[in-house]
Amino acid sequence: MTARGAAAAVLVAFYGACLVFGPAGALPGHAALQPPSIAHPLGTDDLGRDMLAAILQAGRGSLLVAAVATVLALLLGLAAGLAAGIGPPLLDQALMRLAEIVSSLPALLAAVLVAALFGGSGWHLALVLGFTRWPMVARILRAETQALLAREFLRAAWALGATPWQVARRHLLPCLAAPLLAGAGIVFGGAVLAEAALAFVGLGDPEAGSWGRMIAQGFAMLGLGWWLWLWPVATLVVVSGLVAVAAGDGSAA
Amino acid sequence: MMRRAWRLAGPLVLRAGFGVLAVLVAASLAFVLAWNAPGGPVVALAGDSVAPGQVEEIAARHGIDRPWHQAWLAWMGRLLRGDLGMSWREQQPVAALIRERLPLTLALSVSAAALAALVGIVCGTVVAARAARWPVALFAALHAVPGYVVAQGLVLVFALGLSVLPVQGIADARDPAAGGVALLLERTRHLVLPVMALALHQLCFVALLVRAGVAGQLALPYVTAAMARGRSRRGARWRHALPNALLPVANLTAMRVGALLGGALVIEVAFALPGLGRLAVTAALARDHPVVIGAVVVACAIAWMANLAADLAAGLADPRLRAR
Repeated sequence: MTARGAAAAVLVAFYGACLVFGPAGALPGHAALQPPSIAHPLGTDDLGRDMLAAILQAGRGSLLVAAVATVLALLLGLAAGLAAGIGPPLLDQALMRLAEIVSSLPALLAAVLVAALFGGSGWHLALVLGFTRWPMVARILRAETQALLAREFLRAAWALGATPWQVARRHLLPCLAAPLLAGAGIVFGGAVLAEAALAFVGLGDPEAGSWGRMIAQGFAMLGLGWWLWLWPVATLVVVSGLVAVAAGDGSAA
Repeated sequence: MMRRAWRLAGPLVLRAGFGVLAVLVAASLAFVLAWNAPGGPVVALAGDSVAPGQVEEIAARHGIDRPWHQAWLAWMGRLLRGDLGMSWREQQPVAALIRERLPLTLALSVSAAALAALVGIVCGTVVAARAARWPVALFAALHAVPGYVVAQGLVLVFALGLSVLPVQGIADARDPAAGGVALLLERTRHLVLPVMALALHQLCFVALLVRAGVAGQLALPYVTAAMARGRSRRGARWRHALPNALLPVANLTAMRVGALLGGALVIEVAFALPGLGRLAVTAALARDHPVVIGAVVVACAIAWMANLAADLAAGLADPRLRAR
């Protein structure tokens, strides 16, 4: 629990740093390709920008896209999961079959196609990820809801004449916070990686910075300086690792 | 006899039909998206300076002068007859383009999945008996590394550093193999690094799942009973705990086939391999909608067939499912 809290705190602090120190500013061309020093702790890139500032600026866009995608997936997943858990069996079946169809779609392929067809805006990506990742949340919440419905306090609530809406809002939602958070972490981590992958392929937003694109460009310029590639890679890996820890490591459970 | 056969095959037939429905839904979504995208074959093919009447002629030739629901109906009709249509750009049937690219993507994904399953199961089972936490941390950390970064690392070490394997591509441009064994060897040499890069993520996932599953089974009384009958610790782990832990792993792995295809797309781009994913990306950028939709149909069909195969395998392997 403490590890999860610490990881979440570090992530929030990192995003704060992205917002505060993000703007990379002008392009001082005379300082291009400098190795890490006191003035530029992570070195400068081929245009003379400070690598630390570039990484933080890229983080703003990447993390915002992931956050929007996560909120969308959570809202859809919560609605579908609760409806499937409380509702009649027919609705349950229909929603779960729909979830199965959606989760069988290759989400990254969908994101790539939307980016190629409509342009690589972060909003497009957030929409695609939100609409393809909700089934996982819905499945977790449905299972949790069904387990909760068998408990006595909920049977008491039904017996006292509570409506499904009241049951969902007053009794189920507070108990669903923990699984909802775990689902949020998994969706968020996947979205950060998907955004980077799309930018790596060259289909990201050309106007916003992205760790994925820095990784692709840095690898091509590896002969000029290792810091151009290593820092974006390290940032992406550490951030996605922290998200996994904060989510309670859904893959290991 | 008939009823018994239906009881066994019925659910599978239903699921197969459901899969066909899912593929059609995905194809329709792709159709609507492509139809509403800015630009189109008229702009892409005609260019800036067009002769009078050429725009109308191109639109009529590809059937995009109709309202979208008519075009959709006509297109679905052809799809149901197994016709994916003609590519707008290449002037070739879409099916031929896909048939040319699909084997590479399949070779890449299937080898990666097989490698990940084998090594992941062995690693997970070996690690399950240890009390140490570091293997879990290691697998979780490697799981967080994206495939293309793994690809770059592998290229740095094996292609640029040690120069034992090619950097990218599927054939040696200076010395193309003629055929037979030499061709097979060349293809294999070019696929070693992409397969490893694609497999690592999946491998860690399988290893973590197997470790958790086997560790959970090892705590159950039947394992203690097996050891009381004289099974060694290792025997109990591999012969008793592992088979019981594998079923959920197989199901979860089948559900990740879609994700694996997405990963294959990125790996194809990273290694410049002419596979299905790169076909879809270049086609989408060129507004070649029939190819885009065809690629989506094929990818979804593969994902569903994998799901169906997992169901079938689970039914064969698990006596409880067979009895139901």
